[in-house]
Amino acid sequence: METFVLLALNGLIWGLIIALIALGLSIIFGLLDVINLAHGDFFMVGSVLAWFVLQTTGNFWIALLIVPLIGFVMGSICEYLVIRPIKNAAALTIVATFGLSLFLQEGVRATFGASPKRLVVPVDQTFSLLGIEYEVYRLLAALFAILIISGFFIFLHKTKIGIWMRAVRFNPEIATAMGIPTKKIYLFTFAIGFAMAAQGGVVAAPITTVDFQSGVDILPFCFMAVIIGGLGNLEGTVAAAIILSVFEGMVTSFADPTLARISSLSLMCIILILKPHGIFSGAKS
Amino acid sequence: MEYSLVLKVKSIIQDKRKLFYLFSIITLAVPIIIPVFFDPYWIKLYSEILIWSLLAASVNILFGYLGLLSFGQALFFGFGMYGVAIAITKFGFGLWGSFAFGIFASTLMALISGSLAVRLTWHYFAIITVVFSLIFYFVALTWKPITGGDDGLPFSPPNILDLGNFKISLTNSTHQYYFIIFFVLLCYYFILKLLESPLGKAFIAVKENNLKSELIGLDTYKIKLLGFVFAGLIAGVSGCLFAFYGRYASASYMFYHVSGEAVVWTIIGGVGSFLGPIFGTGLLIVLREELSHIWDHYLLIVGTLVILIVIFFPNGISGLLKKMLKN
Amino acid sequence: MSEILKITNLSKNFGGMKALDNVNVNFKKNTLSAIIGPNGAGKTTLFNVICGSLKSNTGQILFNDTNITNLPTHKISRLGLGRTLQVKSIFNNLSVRENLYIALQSSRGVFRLSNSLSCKKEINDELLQISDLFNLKDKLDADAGSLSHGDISIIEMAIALCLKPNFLLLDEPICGMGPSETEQTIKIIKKLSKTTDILIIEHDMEAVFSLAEDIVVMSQGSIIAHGTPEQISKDEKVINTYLGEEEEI
Repeated sequence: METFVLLALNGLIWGLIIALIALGLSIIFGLLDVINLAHGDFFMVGSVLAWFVLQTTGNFWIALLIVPLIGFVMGSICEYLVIRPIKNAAALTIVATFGLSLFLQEGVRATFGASPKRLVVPVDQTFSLLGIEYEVYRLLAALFAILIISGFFIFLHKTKIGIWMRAVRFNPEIATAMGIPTKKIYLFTFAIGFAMAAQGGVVAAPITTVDFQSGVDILPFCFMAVIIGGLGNLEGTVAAAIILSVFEGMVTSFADPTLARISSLSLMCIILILKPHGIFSGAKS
Repeated sequence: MEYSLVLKVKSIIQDKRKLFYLFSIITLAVPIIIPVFFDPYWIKLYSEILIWSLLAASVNILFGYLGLLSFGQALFFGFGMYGVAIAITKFGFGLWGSFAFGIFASTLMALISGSLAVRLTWHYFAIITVVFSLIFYFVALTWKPITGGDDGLPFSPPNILDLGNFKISLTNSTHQYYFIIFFVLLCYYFILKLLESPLGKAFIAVKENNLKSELIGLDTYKIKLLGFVFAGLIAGVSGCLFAFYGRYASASYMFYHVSGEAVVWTIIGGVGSFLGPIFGTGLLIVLREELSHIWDHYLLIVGTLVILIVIFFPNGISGLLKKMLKN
Repeated sequence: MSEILKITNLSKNFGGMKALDNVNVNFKKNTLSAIIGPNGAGKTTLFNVICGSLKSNTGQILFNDTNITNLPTHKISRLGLGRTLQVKSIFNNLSVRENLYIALQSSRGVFRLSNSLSCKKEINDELLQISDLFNLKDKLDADAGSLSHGDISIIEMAIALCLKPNFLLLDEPICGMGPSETEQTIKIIKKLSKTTDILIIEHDMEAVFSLAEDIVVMSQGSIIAHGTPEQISKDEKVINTYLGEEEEI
């Protein structure tokens, strides 16, 4: 029973981190119509950057602050060089982001190396939870994720740029006619998407390995959260990420991780078949 | 003189049938022509490209003609591949038996998954193809006793034809080449027939306007399902041929990344073009091969080139060829 | 039975809104009927439910005594019920010829690898016949999507006719046409009505009154009047409904 709760809790925490990353994918997808095959690698780059910052400064909290900023800049560069030149055809974005993914993975392999590394946990206390010594950092990670996600939603609904983003998402032509700098919003959105994924990478780094291929496993999960949560439904993305991750965590308590993965995938199948438009109704058809 | 040559080439390009015959002739002549100018290793590479091009062709049928983007064709590739490997190693089938088994397994899987998947549209369809393929990837990965997991399931290929003193075997590289080529060309021939058939025209109608297609009496579900099953069959053949070529099967070839590569090859070759899959697959495999000898970090170049190709040639290689011929 | 379409107790709700409220109506054979009514009356929704694009909540639809309620669209089409759309929609990237061809092919079945020579000839003959009827002969090789709105409306009718329907539902066929095109189209519809029963939704009152022998008036999801053009033009309820609307005379 205790393992069940603990693994479900792990799933919840991991789900929150995935939600953070998937939100980045959701806005890139929803606003720019970009099928970003490199999004998992944005996460990976974030964790690698965290490792580098930790190596040079020895301070994890600096990494937590700086990496998303670096991610934002990198995202802007990517949007400008890779996405903008493509005339907005979804099929082409697949190929372009595929190329970007190859580039990022190899770039990291060349600089960071091919062997996975572990990041020293910044807060190595544990506390007693249900008879197990549970890492305090995990709870902190969840807290970070919740704070950033909430901050994101507040930003989206209360700030000028956020409102502009929603306007462009709703109807780019009308938004441009209203004087909103649509091109800049596209750049901003992609940059924020990168930053959020990178932030997820920093937060997750102490509880997983830092590895140039770590984006590969994350990518399909993010897409599933985005689509099953209902296309264009940001809250749905968060909910789907958490639900699927908690479910997987629960199954891990009595089956091995791969079997758990298979069962969460099967759950997704069932959801898609029963509710062909996602669990929650999507805002975009 | 120059102008009439261009016209001749144009007439070939625009007629799929003529294009197919030209392509077949070239392909059949490769083992004779190549060694004159190049290293014979290119013959093997060419056959490998053609095998993988079938996987891209299966993506192309769905995406280019039905408007369905499948990110999970590696699933049927895998069923073909494992069908052959398991039939040989566990059931003791011969070459033809295992080939038939692999095709049967992949087509059946396409029928089952397709019956569910084609009810969905666009993004939901794409994601369910990923989910299906991932499920079986993990099954293949963990079911080590049957599939060998990531290590793979090697086998020695049975003879194509065994008449005592006279043997046709995959171990003979010429026999292997023509064996593979025969089935690749056969597949492209069937694809050609399908595209020119009433059913092929119906595919395009469904892609263009699903509602209108229903209104003119087309059972769009059935049409999409048939297309999906056919594409699964082609991907399955690709997997079987790969197993014969590589003499092994491995779960890593069922990973979504393989499906994704096939999509990229399709788009670079030109979506909806008949031989586009061959161009796209060929270009990227050759790039990788050649660049990997030059630099350890060649993938940086490949990634950049892929981005540049799609920026400057959005209609793919076949789109570029068509444009060049117009001028 | 002399009724080609019998609708009983048909209702369709969207959320809380009653788009069709217990509709009961019969359409006679050998008649050109029309449905009129203000915007939002539920006319196109009625077409959508009849043709299977939308599922009804209650009620029954009998077409030539066959129960077609909630059958899939393609089956209904094959039973002989054709339809054009309010928002004109055809196969944009195909030529006009290809648009007609696929409809003709569909009527003969698509699950085959090729047509026999005689079948091919049949299809081509019919294609020429239909393009003659609708004056499309010189537009056959044009990209269907590049043509004018009025042309697309005509192509829609031509496509529907390829399936040899017994009953043809036309949704605002004249919408967006100029006066000469309108005249031509009315002529074509009159000619068609001699061999096919037609039900037309229209806002152009002149066209309706010159074409229809039987008029149904809808408002807010229900039928408020049903009769000959004379009866309808004198019906008080109808006049009241239209007082809020601009009447096109």
